[in-house]
Amino acid sequence: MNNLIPLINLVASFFALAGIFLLIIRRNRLGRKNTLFLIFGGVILFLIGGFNLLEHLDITPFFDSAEDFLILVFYPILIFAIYNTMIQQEFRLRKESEEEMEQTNLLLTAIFDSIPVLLLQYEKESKTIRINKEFERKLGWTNEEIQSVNILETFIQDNEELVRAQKGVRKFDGSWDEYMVTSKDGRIHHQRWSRIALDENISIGIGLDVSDQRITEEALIKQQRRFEYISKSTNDVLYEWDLVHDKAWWSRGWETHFGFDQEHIGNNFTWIKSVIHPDDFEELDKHFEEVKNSDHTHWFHEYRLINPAGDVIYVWDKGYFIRDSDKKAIGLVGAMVNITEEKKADSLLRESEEKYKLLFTKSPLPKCIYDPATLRIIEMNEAALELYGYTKEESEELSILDLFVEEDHERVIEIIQKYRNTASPQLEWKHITKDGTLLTVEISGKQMKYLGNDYRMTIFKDITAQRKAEEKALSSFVEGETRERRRLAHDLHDGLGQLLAASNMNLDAIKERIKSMDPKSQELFNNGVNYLKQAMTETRNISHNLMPRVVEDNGLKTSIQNLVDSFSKGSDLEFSFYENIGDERFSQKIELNIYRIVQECFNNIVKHAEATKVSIQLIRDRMDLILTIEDNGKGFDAAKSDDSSGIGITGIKTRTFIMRGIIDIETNDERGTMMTICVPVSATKTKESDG
Amino acid sequence: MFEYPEVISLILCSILYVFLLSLTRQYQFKLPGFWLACISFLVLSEVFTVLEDIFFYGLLNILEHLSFALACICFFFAILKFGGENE
Repeated sequence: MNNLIPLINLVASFFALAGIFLLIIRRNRLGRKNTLFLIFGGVILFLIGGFNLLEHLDITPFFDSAEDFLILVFYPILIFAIYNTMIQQEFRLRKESEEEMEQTNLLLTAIFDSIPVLLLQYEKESKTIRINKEFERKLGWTNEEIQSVNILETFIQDNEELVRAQKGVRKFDGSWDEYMVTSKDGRIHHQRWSRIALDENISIGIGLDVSDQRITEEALIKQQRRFEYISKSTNDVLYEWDLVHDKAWWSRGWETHFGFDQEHIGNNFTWIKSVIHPDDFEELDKHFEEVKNSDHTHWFHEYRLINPAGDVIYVWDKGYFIRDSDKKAIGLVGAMVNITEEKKADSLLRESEEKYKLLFTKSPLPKCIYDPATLRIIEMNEAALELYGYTKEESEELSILDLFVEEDHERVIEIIQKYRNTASPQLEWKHITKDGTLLTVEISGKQMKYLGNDYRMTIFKDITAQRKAEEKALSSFVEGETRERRRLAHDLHDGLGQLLAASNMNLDAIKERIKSMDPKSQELFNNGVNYLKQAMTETRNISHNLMPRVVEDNGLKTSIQNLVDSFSKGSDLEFSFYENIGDERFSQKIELNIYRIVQECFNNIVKHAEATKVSIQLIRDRMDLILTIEDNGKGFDAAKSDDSSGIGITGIKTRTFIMRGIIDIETNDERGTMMTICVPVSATKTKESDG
Repeated sequence: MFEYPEVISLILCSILYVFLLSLTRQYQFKLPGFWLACISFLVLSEVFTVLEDIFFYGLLNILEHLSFALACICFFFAILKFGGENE
């Protein structure tokens, strides 16, 4: 057994030496002083071990004494050194631990204050110890203020809620309760609270302010409800289709609008495919894929569905593609509308339009449909095309104004604007055909719906022949009157006038012989001769008025000037006459009728107008002869004027009509009367003869 | 018979050992196990040293050296485990 002792001491020395070696080569947390202590201790252990080894090898008795010395002196020192080192180490560890706890405490305080959750540390009797910053921010109380208040009674106003909260404050099962909490400024917050017990007395309350969440939820509920109402009230079936997972959501409506039972409504493409009309599916699918794979966002298509009852439903589908960042379609939202009734109505309308078109096209009355906005002719019927000489293709290029003479265009536009939404009165217009022929037409128009647009239909009544006949009759009448006047004038001048002249010559011949007669007889004779001379003058005047030769002999200017002179002498009126016709001659018909009109107007002014000034203008325009007669008299009622009034307006109008002129009368009791007559005098090719 | 230096050393070490352990308990220090074992084996070695002079010299002598060797091993492992931790 004793042989083991050197080995044991060898092992002991080895580990002591190894310990010293470790202390020297490795960094440690013992500190320099303690490390030296331990190295010293290790050396003692090494020496004791070494001396024991040498002692047992019996080399010299010195080692036994040295060992005893070492044990006696250094064992207590060694024990104390090791203990001291450990105690110091313990102190150091404790300090480190305290520092760590301090840091942890700071960290927890920072978390406590910065976490976006309301935290409340409180005692058993609802007395607050501490609140975090979020609590202060949401409810407005500071840490100092809240120390003196009862938290439940302060924050919860409602009694029922307070009772519930008082029960809840003792629950530590991790459940959450929602309360309506009043902040310092009186605002109500919706908050959810849970509690954690730290020990028997102190607990932590954890609160989440869900006011914003509540507002958002309420808004969402409102929005959802609104959406439901809209989907209920609208005729559209709203849908959302997840193209990635092939899942569809439908609003209500398949049952009410399309006649599907709830159990027959699917929510994927396969189902949709099964209810689409087989004839429509291929085109629909092609169009859908085209739009889906393009950059477009909107998609429209009309197709048919077949419901379980076998009814065909026409659907107008409009959708909006939702695309990801790569423009790939990932969803489709849209609405489907049942347009079956519209399609039926449309079909009926088309049939109606076809019938109407037939009536329109084959009508013997010339008719034309035009767009009042652009004045473009939409369609002319066969009778109108024949009347105006256009082909159907040419008519489609025309404007309605192309049918009117140029000078009427402004008035035509005015009439169209005026009667845009009502039937226009029947008016007489001059129209021009493709080959330039002038027509007199009566036109009436009314608005209409045609091909879905607001157009106007115009009916033309060609009254050219009628007007020609009327004109001819009137011309004949006037010519007959002129002839009769001429015959009467001739008879008076050559018959009665000659007899009166012969009588006057005979009486002049016996003038010397009656001087022998008594004065009374002479006076009677002279009176007879004077009457005879007056009769001659009157006869000449009547003859002259019946057939004024001055017109034929000297023209319009001179004859009107004579009239002016004659009336100036015979009345107190102040006449002014302006003309630019000079010596130009016009047709006998025009000259005579203008002369008669002026004569008639002068007579009217002298007899009825009570005027003091009369102005006459006779202006030769490029195409027309314009006569204007103006007075400053009392005017007259133009609406009631006719032949019975004695002012001969009808005669003036008739003469104007015979000349194909137009007449405009403006009369006013303050400004007098102005009559303007415009007579075309340049040659224009017309359908009827010039007369 | 007893060798006085060994007895004196044992008395000193025992008193110190008991005193230090009482301190440890009083202040609730935690001494690392290897260090405590090291000290305890050293004291135990002292005990065996004194007792071997009275009886069972051979056995107690071996136990004395064994205790000392265990103290050295504990010293080594205490340094290896504790003292080698990086700062």
